[in-house]
Amino acid sequence: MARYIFIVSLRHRTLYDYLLQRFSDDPNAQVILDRRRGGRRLAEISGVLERRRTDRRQQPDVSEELRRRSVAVVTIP
Amino acid sequence: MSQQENLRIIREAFEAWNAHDVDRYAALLDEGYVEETHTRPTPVRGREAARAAMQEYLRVLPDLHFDLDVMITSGDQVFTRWLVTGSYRGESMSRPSSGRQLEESGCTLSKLGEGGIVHVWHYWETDHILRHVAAQ
Repeated sequence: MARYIFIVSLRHRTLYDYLLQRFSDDPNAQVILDRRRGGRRLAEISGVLERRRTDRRQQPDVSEELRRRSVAVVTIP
Repeated sequence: MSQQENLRIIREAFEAWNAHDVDRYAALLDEGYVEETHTRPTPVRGREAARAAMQEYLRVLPDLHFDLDVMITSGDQVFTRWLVTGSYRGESMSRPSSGRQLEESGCTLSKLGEGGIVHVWHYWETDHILRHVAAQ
Protein backbone atom coordinates (compact mmCIF):
# COMPACT_ATOMS: atom_id res chain seq x y z
CA MET A 1 0.00 0.00 0.00
CA ALA A 2 1.31 3.42 -0.96
CA ARG A 3 2.17 5.79 1.88
CA TYR A 4 1.49 8.85 -0.22
CA ILE A 5 -1.20 9.44 -2.79
CA PHE A 6 -0.69 12.37 -5.15
CA ILE A 7 -4.03 13.42 -6.61
CA VAL A 8 -3.49 15.71 -9.57
CA SER A 9 -6.14 18.02 -10.97
CA LEU A 10 -7.29 17.20 -14.49
CA ARG A 11 -6.28 20.75 -15.44
CA HIS A 12 -2.62 19.89 -14.77
CA ARG A 13 -1.98 16.87 -16.96
CA THR A 14 1.70 17.77 -17.42
CA LEU A 15 2.27 17.55 -13.70
CA TYR A 16 0.46 14.22 -13.56
CA ASP A 17 2.59 12.76 -16.36
CA TYR A 18 5.79 13.88 -14.67
CA LEU A 19 4.93 12.64 -11.19
CA LEU A 20 3.69 9.36 -12.64
CA GLN A 21 7.00 8.89 -14.44
CA ARG A 22 9.14 9.83 -11.45
CA PHE A 23 7.25 7.71 -8.92
CA SER A 24 6.54 4.73 -11.18
CA ASP A 25 9.05 2.50 -9.34
CA ASP A 26 8.27 3.79 -5.88
CA PRO A 27 6.01 1.49 -3.86
CA ASN A 28 5.48 4.26 -1.31
CA ALA A 29 3.83 6.61 -3.75
CA GLN A 30 0.78 6.43 -5.97
CA VAL A 31 -0.14 9.10 -8.50
CA ILE A 32 -3.76 9.58 -9.54
CA LEU A 33 -5.30 11.92 -12.08
CA ASP A 34 -8.59 13.27 -10.77
CA ARG A 35 -10.86 12.29 -13.65
CA ARG A 36 -13.97 12.12 -11.53
CA ARG A 37 -17.19 13.63 -12.61
CA GLY A 38 -19.21 12.82 -9.54
CA GLY A 39 -16.63 12.41 -6.81
CA ARG A 40 -16.37 8.65 -7.00
CA ARG A 41 -12.57 8.46 -7.01
CA LEU A 42 -12.16 10.75 -4.03
CA ALA A 43 -14.89 8.91 -2.21
CA GLU A 44 -12.80 5.75 -2.64
CA ILE A 45 -9.72 7.51 -1.28
CA SER A 46 -11.68 8.93 1.64
CA GLY A 47 -12.77 5.38 2.37
CA VAL A 48 -9.14 4.26 2.54
CA LEU A 49 -8.31 7.08 4.91
CA GLU A 50 -11.33 6.52 7.05
CA ARG A 51 -10.18 3.03 7.83
CA ARG A 52 -6.82 4.36 8.96
CA ARG A 53 -7.76 7.34 11.03
CA THR A 54 -10.18 7.65 13.83
CA ASP A 55 -10.47 11.42 13.85
CA ARG A 56 -12.58 12.52 10.88
CA ARG A 57 -11.65 16.13 11.58
CA GLN A 58 -8.13 15.33 10.34
CA GLN A 59 -9.36 14.28 6.89
CA PRO A 60 -8.03 16.57 4.20
CA ASP A 61 -10.62 18.27 2.07
CA VAL A 62 -9.17 17.00 -1.17
CA SER A 63 -11.93 18.41 -3.35
CA GLU A 64 -11.37 21.88 -1.99
CA GLU A 65 -7.59 21.58 -2.42
CA LEU A 66 -7.97 20.50 -6.02
CA ARG A 67 -10.17 23.46 -6.74
CA ARG A 68 -7.38 25.76 -5.60
CA ARG A 69 -4.21 23.82 -6.35
CA SER A 70 -2.73 21.53 -8.98
CA VAL A 71 -2.14 18.62 -6.65
CA ALA A 72 -3.34 17.34 -3.32
CA VAL A 73 -1.30 14.92 -1.26
CA VAL A 74 -2.86 12.35 1.01
CA THR A 75 -0.56 10.72 3.54
CA ILE A 76 -1.47 7.28 4.82
CA PRO A 77 -0.04 6.65 8.28
CA MET B 1 21.74 10.15 2.50
CA SER B 2 18.77 9.51 4.72
CA GLN B 3 15.33 10.79 3.84
CA GLN B 4 15.50 13.11 6.85
CA GLU B 5 18.76 14.54 5.53
CA ASN B 6 17.17 15.00 2.10
CA LEU B 7 14.30 16.90 3.71
CA ARG B 8 16.73 19.06 5.64
CA ILE B 9 18.66 19.97 2.49
CA ILE B 10 15.55 20.90 0.53
CA ARG B 11 14.22 22.93 3.44
CA GLU B 12 17.57 24.73 3.58
CA ALA B 13 17.44 25.34 -0.18
CA PHE B 14 14.10 27.15 0.16
CA GLU B 15 15.44 29.04 3.18
CA ALA B 16 18.33 30.19 1.00
CA TRP B 17 15.85 31.37 -1.65
CA ASN B 18 13.87 33.24 1.00
CA ALA B 19 17.07 34.78 2.36
CA HIS B 20 18.03 35.66 -1.23
CA ASP B 21 21.35 33.98 -0.49
CA VAL B 22 22.64 32.77 -3.83
CA ASP B 23 25.89 31.36 -2.43
CA ARG B 24 24.10 29.34 0.24
CA TYR B 25 21.78 27.90 -2.40
CA ALA B 26 24.58 27.09 -4.84
CA ALA B 27 26.52 25.30 -2.09
CA LEU B 28 23.68 22.78 -1.78
CA LEU B 29 23.87 21.78 -5.44
CA ASP B 30 25.69 18.80 -6.92
CA GLU B 31 28.28 19.56 -9.60
CA GLY B 32 26.04 17.92 -12.18
CA TYR B 33 22.98 19.89 -11.13
CA VAL B 34 20.11 20.18 -13.64
CA GLU B 35 17.04 22.38 -13.21
CA GLU B 36 13.99 22.12 -15.45
CA THR B 37 10.52 23.55 -15.75
CA HIS B 38 7.74 22.30 -17.97
CA THR B 39 7.51 25.53 -19.93
CA ARG B 40 11.15 26.05 -20.85
CA PRO B 41 12.83 23.78 -23.37
CA THR B 42 16.38 24.43 -22.14
CA PRO B 43 17.36 23.21 -18.68
CA VAL B 44 19.70 25.07 -16.36
CA ARG B 45 22.88 23.00 -16.00
CA GLY B 46 25.53 23.40 -13.33
CA ARG B 47 26.03 25.54 -10.25
CA GLU B 48 27.04 28.71 -12.06
CA ALA B 49 24.03 28.62 -14.36
CA ALA B 50 21.79 27.97 -11.35
CA ARG B 51 23.33 30.93 -9.57
CA ALA B 52 22.67 33.15 -12.59
CA ALA B 53 19.08 31.92 -12.89
CA MET B 54 18.41 32.64 -9.22
CA GLN B 55 19.90 36.11 -9.52
CA GLU B 56 17.61 36.80 -12.48
CA TYR B 57 14.53 35.78 -10.51
CA LEU B 58 15.62 38.01 -7.63
CA ARG B 59 16.26 40.92 -9.96
CA VAL B 60 12.74 40.71 -11.35
CA LEU B 61 11.17 39.89 -7.95
CA PRO B 62 13.41 41.41 -5.25
CA ASP B 63 11.07 40.35 -2.43
CA LEU B 64 10.44 36.83 -3.74
CA HIS B 65 9.29 34.50 -0.97
CA PHE B 66 8.27 30.86 -0.86
CA ASP B 67 5.81 29.50 1.69
CA LEU B 68 6.02 25.72 1.87
CA ASP B 69 2.86 23.86 2.74
CA VAL B 70 3.62 20.23 1.85
CA MET B 71 6.93 18.33 1.93
CA ILE B 72 7.05 14.63 1.15
CA THR B 73 10.19 12.53 0.97
CA SER B 74 10.33 9.17 -0.73
CA GLY B 75 13.57 7.42 -1.60
CA ASP B 76 16.00 9.96 -3.03
CA GLN B 77 13.25 12.40 -4.00
CA VAL B 78 11.55 15.23 -2.16
CA PHE B 79 8.24 16.70 -3.29
CA THR B 80 7.52 20.25 -2.11
CA ARG B 81 4.36 22.24 -2.71
CA TRP B 82 4.63 25.99 -2.32
CA LEU B 83 3.04 29.38 -2.69
CA VAL B 84 5.34 32.10 -4.00
CA THR B 85 4.78 35.81 -3.47
CA GLY B 86 6.62 38.90 -4.55
CA SER B 87 6.30 42.16 -6.41
CA TYR B 88 7.63 42.77 -9.87
CA ARG B 89 10.36 45.37 -9.85
CA GLY B 90 12.49 44.47 -12.85
CA GLU B 91 12.63 46.85 -15.77
CA SER B 92 13.25 46.21 -19.40
CA MET B 93 12.96 48.01 -22.72
CA SER B 94 9.65 46.30 -23.42
CA ARG B 95 8.05 46.26 -19.98
CA PRO B 96 8.39 48.93 -17.31
CA SER B 97 8.64 48.18 -13.64
CA SER B 98 5.13 47.66 -12.37
CA GLY B 99 5.29 46.84 -8.67
CA ARG B 100 2.47 44.43 -9.41
CA GLN B 101 2.04 41.67 -6.83
CA LEU B 102 2.71 38.07 -7.68
CA GLU B 103 0.99 35.24 -5.87
CA GLU B 104 1.38 31.92 -7.57
CA SER B 105 1.45 28.32 -6.51
CA GLY B 106 3.28 25.28 -7.75
CA CYS B 107 5.53 22.46 -6.66
CA THR B 108 9.07 21.18 -7.01
CA LEU B 109 10.33 17.65 -7.27
CA SER B 110 13.96 17.36 -6.20
CA LYS B 111 16.34 14.43 -6.57
CA LEU B 112 19.29 14.22 -4.22
CA GLY B 113 22.59 12.40 -4.25
CA GLU B 114 25.77 12.31 -2.20
CA GLY B 115 26.85 15.67 -3.63
CA GLY B 116 23.59 17.41 -2.76
CA ILE B 117 20.72 18.39 -5.02
CA VAL B 118 21.17 16.65 -8.35
CA HIS B 119 18.02 17.53 -10.26
CA VAL B 120 15.00 19.73 -9.68
CA TRP B 121 11.83 20.09 -11.70
CA HIS B 122 9.62 23.08 -10.97
CA TYR B 123 5.96 23.10 -11.86
CA TRP B 124 4.30 26.51 -11.94
CA GLU B 125 0.54 26.37 -12.03
CA THR B 126 0.62 29.14 -14.60
CA ASP B 127 3.59 30.28 -16.67
CA HIS B 128 3.06 33.93 -15.79
CA ILE B 129 6.24 34.40 -13.78
CA LEU B 130 8.32 32.53 -16.33
CA ARG B 131 7.05 34.75 -19.14
CA HIS B 132 7.79 37.80 -17.04
CA VAL B 133 11.34 36.71 -16.20
CA ALA B 134 11.97 35.74 -19.83
CA ALA B 135 10.82 39.19 -20.98
CA GLN B 136 13.48 40.99 -18.96
